[in-house]
Amino acid sequence: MLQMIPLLFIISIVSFLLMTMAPGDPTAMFQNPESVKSGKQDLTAIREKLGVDKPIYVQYEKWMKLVLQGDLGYSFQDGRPVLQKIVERIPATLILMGTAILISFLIAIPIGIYSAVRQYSPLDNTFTFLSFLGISIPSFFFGLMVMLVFSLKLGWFPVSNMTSDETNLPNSVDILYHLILPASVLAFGLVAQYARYMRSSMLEVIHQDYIRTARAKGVAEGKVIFKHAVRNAMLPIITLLGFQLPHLFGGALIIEQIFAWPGMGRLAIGSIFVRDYQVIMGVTMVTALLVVIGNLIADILYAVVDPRIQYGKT
Amino acid sequence: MIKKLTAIAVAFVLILSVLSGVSTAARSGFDPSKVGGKVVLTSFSDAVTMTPLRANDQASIDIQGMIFDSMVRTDFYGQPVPGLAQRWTYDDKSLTYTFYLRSGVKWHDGKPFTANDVKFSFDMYTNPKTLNTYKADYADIQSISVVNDLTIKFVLKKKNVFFLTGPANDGWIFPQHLFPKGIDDYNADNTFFSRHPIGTGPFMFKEWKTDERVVLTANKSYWNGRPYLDEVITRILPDNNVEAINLLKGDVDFVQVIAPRTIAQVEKDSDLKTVVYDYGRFDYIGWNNDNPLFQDKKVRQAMNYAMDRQAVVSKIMLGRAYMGTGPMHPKLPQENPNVKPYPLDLNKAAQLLADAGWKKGSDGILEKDGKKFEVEIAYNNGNVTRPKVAQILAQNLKKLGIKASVRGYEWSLFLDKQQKGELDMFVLAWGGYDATVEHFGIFHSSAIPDKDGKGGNNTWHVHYAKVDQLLEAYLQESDASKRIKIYQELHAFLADEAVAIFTHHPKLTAGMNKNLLGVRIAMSGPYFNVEDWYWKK
Repeated sequence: MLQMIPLLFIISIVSFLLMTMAPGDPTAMFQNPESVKSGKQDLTAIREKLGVDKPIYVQYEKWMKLVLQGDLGYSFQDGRPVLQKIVERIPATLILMGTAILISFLIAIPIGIYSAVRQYSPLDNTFTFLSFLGISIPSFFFGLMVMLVFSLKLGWFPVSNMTSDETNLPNSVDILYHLILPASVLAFGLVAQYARYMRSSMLEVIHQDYIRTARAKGVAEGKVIFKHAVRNAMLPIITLLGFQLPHLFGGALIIEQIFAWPGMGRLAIGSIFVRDYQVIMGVTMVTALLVVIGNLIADILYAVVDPRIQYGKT
Repeated sequence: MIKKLTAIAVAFVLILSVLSGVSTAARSGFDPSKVGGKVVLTSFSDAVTMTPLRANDQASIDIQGMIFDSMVRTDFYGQPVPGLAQRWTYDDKSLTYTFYLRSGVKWHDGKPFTANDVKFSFDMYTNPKTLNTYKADYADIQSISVVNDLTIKFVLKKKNVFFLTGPANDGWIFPQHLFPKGIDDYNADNTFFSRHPIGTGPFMFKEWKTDERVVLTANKSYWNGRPYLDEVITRILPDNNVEAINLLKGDVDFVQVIAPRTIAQVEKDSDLKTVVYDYGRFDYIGWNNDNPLFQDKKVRQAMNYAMDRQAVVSKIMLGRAYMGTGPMHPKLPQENPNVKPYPLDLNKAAQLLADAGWKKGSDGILEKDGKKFEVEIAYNNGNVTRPKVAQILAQNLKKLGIKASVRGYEWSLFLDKQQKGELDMFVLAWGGYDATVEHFGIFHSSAIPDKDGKGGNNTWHVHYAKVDQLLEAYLQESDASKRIKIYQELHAFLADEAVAIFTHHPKLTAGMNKNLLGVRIAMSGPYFNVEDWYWKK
């Protein structure tokens, strides 16, 4: 538990260094060498205001002091508190990622079990084919295709954003209506991954001795699979679930961009493009923290699922 | 007799309107039957702040432009016309502008607008302590004094013939009563005002959902008559394919620039129309003129003869562009009609390079004093036109025996290197000007950035006494026709000196619902007359 603190500290130093040493300059966002409007700006004053004229260690120290007080600093771009910028994105991100992850687990686990039990059956081969398609098809392309078919041609769903400009629907229904396409596109890629995990994990388990023993004892096949095999095969999937936590909050860069979904992914990518150091650090640290917590949760879940694992005893 | 009667009637109406003191009269040609409906616009990125001159991103500027007014507006041709100031006088001797403001104008919150608001706004623009980054634009203002509620005087430090179309037009007026702590409130980030602005403009702020949309509603008591549209929504759509799909589906009504590859599809759609318009901009391939490679005029001219401008216009821009001759625009009077584009002439280019002392070595690469002629043509990643423009030049340079390569850089990196003068050649553009075009900041020797990239926008390091003198004279000349002559001379000089390769001036294509009428796109921007847009009934 306690080793989390030095770990996060090291992560913060490494990311801060990488970020500030990478080429590019935060004042670039205030200039546009293509526009008359931004012609005569006082960049020195901007540098001073942002504090980026100081050496890196001074900048880091200033940032760290804020973090220790529970403050993530202020965005270079619009001066709003980084924490506020992150918090206001959480609902949209959770709705999208939560739905996608939930749907994909619900679909992927049965598929994985089926594929393992009926290995090399025509349906398994179909699932395998679809999985590879799901993993390898770029999501921006798939997203655009889905959009073209279901929004433009069929007109079933709205093209982008999370809510309508004006609508008579209740807010939750309106969001659901906007959610279906991006969540499905995301889930398609995730189902593919999870199903592969589940399949291989399940395959490993059903070839083990205790399964053979169970069968030899004459236990019904259904019981063998669901009581003996699945429970063990779920272990790696639970680790995977733990790793989804940062994903859940971190959002999906490409899908959010394409569907104009106001989530965390867009905040991250936007701040990286303009070198908004404060926001980049804020998002990085929140994500790092979630990775650590996610691992912790996975460890705890192990103990729940597998009674053989006990913590604190040697 | 009838004339006389009319004159009396007009005088009577004028007196009445003065007495009533409230100018709710609609603009001329106002047609109440056009009122109604909403229009959905797009923006690639979300706005940053609504506090005037605290932002320089296009989204913020476009939206602020609908909420705020300035004392002087510009017409379609860039000439000054009354805005919040009904009229003005100028005294050349004392360098004083006196503005007589419109009476009866109200802020969106109902409070009256007065000269104090004007003074306050300009104080924020000029005070050295404020965080407005455009201070240089307002540097010519010596003092501002309020004469009475509706009269204000500006004394200038030196003559500025662009005062009306410059500071008086760019300086949006915002309400003093919402900035009780003055500078501190203006400088503060993330204030209530910065997310809920109050102006005097044709549209009032209604809602801003981060990274989703900004909604404005009609100001029904606008001094120039209410806008026809009830609502203007700007949707944030960060991908231009998706923007096009939204337009095709009818979720968006107006897209200011359609990517060339989607134009055909928009044109095919019977519910949409496209409008090709001129935009004040020039595209170029530049270099650092202090780079030893480009110090010889012959070499720079050779680069120009090696550029196939015709191919850029016809093959890359598919005819939607003018060939470039310099930093003006064919539709502006400052363009010198006698300057012709450099033709593609590789023989002449080879001759010029040979004259400059570049001889082919054993490997076929040009050499001079043991140094090979090697250049990298840089562009910013993500732009679809610029790599192609770079390729055209690179191919021709290779034919001449120059080792030329092209390379894309991520935007912020590109900018950094360009500003520091580290790129051999860069494909870029400069735009957003109209008939009040003013190039001091990109060509004057005082605007050359230092090694750290600080100090100005003359990134091509152009420095000629003659250019400096022309740029300065232009700002001092009050006779418009003489002023135009000065820039025509500048145009010819820069073209002959070949300070860069001026490739083309693109025409832009806007796409919109075919029932959206009244749209006039000015050179300075697409939302020039958004209050006059209306829906066909």
